Amino acid sequence: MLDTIEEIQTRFEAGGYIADRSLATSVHLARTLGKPIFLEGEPGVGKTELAKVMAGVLGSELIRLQCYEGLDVHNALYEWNYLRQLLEVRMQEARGVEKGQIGRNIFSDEFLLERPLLRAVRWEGPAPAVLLIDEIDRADEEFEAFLLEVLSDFQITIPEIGTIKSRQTPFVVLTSNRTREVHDALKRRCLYQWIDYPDMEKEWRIICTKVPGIGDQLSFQICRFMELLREEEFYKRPGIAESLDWARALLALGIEELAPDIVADTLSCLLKYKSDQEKLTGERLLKAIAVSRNFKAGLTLAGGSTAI
Amino acid sequence: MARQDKIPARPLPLLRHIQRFGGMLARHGVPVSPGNLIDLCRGLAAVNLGNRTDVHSAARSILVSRREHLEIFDRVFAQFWDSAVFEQNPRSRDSAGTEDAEEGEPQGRKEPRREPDDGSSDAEGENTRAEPECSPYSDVEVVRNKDFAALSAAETRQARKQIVTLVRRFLSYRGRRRVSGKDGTIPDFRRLFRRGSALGLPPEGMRFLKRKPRRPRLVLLCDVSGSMEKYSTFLIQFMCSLRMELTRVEIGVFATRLIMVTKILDRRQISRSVQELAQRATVWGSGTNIGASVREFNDSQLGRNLHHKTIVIILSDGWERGETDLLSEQMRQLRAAAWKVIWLNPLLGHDNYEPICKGMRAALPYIDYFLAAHNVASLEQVGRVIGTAAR
Repeated sequence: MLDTIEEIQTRFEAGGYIADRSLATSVHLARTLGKPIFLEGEPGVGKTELAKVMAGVLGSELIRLQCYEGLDVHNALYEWNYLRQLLEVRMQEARGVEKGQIGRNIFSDEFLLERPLLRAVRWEGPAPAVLLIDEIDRADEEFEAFLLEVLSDFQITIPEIGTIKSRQTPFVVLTSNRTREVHDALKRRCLYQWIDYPDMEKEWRIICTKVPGIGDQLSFQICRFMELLREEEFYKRPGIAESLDWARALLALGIEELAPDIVADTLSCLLKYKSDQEKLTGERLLKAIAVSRNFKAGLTLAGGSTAI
Repeated sequence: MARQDKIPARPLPLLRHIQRFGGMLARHGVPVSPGNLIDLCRGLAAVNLGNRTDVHSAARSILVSRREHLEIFDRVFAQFWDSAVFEQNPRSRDSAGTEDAEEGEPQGRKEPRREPDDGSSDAEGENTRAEPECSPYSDVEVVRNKDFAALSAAETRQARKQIVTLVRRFLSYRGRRRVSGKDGTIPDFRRLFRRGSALGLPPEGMRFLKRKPRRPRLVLLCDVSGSMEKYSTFLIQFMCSLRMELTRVEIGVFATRLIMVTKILDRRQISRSVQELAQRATVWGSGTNIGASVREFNDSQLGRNLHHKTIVIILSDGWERGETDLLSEQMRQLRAAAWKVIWLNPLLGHDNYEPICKGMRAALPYIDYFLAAHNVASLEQVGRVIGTAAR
């Protein structure tokens, strides 16, 4: 399964993810070489989605580790259930168990709280698990260093229990929004992939896949409008996630064609900063809408193959 | 097997090409480790070598690990594989000079050839280092030679000490990561249970979790325009001291445009870095466009050195020649992205100074701390204020 680049593309598309060939190649290599894949790109271009779809395609579980500042080993790897341990100590004391024995009794699997990384290492499914380490740029450097160790050999040592080695290397996806530069040592152990904003054809295919029931006219106009929008200098340029939100909103409103008042009313789906919204008013907005509305020809529809 | 069929008639050509390709990338500034190349060999076995796009994508995701390098990679890839592999004589275009030498004895010659190079540069390094050894603050001399306003060597030394304490004091805040300690409010169960086997207190007593002190990233933007000329000695001192003390500091100088000089300020050899600074930072002494410079900084550094844990220090007198609208807009963006914006103004030290020049007025609403920095005493004040700011 998933042995060729073409197959990856087809299976991903069936799962609702349009992957270009370069991304599919990286996924293929990540599987063959057993390396993590490191995805960077602006927010909303489909980094997290890739891991979700991969889990769906493999028919296995998505194990997600959301990073944040201060994330440490106890929250990423494992933690002992202290409350249960305390209770157990009291109970065994009451039963008159010898002290040294109690100490050994309370450090067993029963009292271990499994966190995402341990779960990924202990995974024993038929298909490899997908481990998503999301927004690694939010974690601090100490965590990165720790991650290096785990990702290199997928084994974890718990002093009281021993070393646990993974039977099946998980498919690891790391994502970063580039709020800070992730250390090279970590990146170099991964396959690097930059995910850019999609071109118009790709975006159109994504919208058609993700928003069933949307008309061709509207979807073309949305794509053209988004393309124009991304040429502007905004504080935060809208990603695919925003296009999809917008397409869904317009569909829900029963709109078939872009019009100035509708776009102005729904602009909050696309631009999330007040200063950005203020930039796109009056003439500029009207012009962008006019250009998008005129954009009909040029796209040929047969079987989703488009030529612009 | 299939691999060898693709490429005409030379023993192990692919391996050799991969090796040279790696070398070429490295020369263009994309660092490539032998480990990466081994991965590439393994990776290429997994894709169809006849398909150029796949080979390109595979090599790119294995060898590149930064967005900035993608473009360089694409260019080098096109150049290399167009010229080298698919022609009969792979050395035809790209391989002048060093590569020709490599061809004969690939490893053997390269090393010894490099060694004398390294040796001599080391020796040079020693020569230049020898001088500062007699007078540890040799940068003072260079500074004086550069015709900057006079500060005696003793004063300079004192100033530098001040700066160092200042920097140490404020560059620490309590992060969200917790470490074990002897006091605090949250018990460190993990340690207590492991050391004390949960039956009583461990021999070393109670343990708690407390928040670990961390260092924010510091960015210093120095105005080196004509109007700031007489403070230049101080500026250089300030920059060099910061650079020596901290790893997490970025330094830029600006006048009409911005030049990041962190790399130039060598951490050990101040004299050399001051010289290089004078050569490279060509904006020195020209007019001021703070707005454009701040924009350059925002655009290029956002998400890299400019993020929510960045303290930005701007050292300038605020005399602006450019558009004030641009300046206030850019200061707003800077304020939104950074943690704290501190403006040090040497003029503020004078009794009757008021920030009435238009540049200063435009920037003022977006500054967290507006402080004087004209002499050693004012720096102490700066240290106190910033110390409380970074909590």
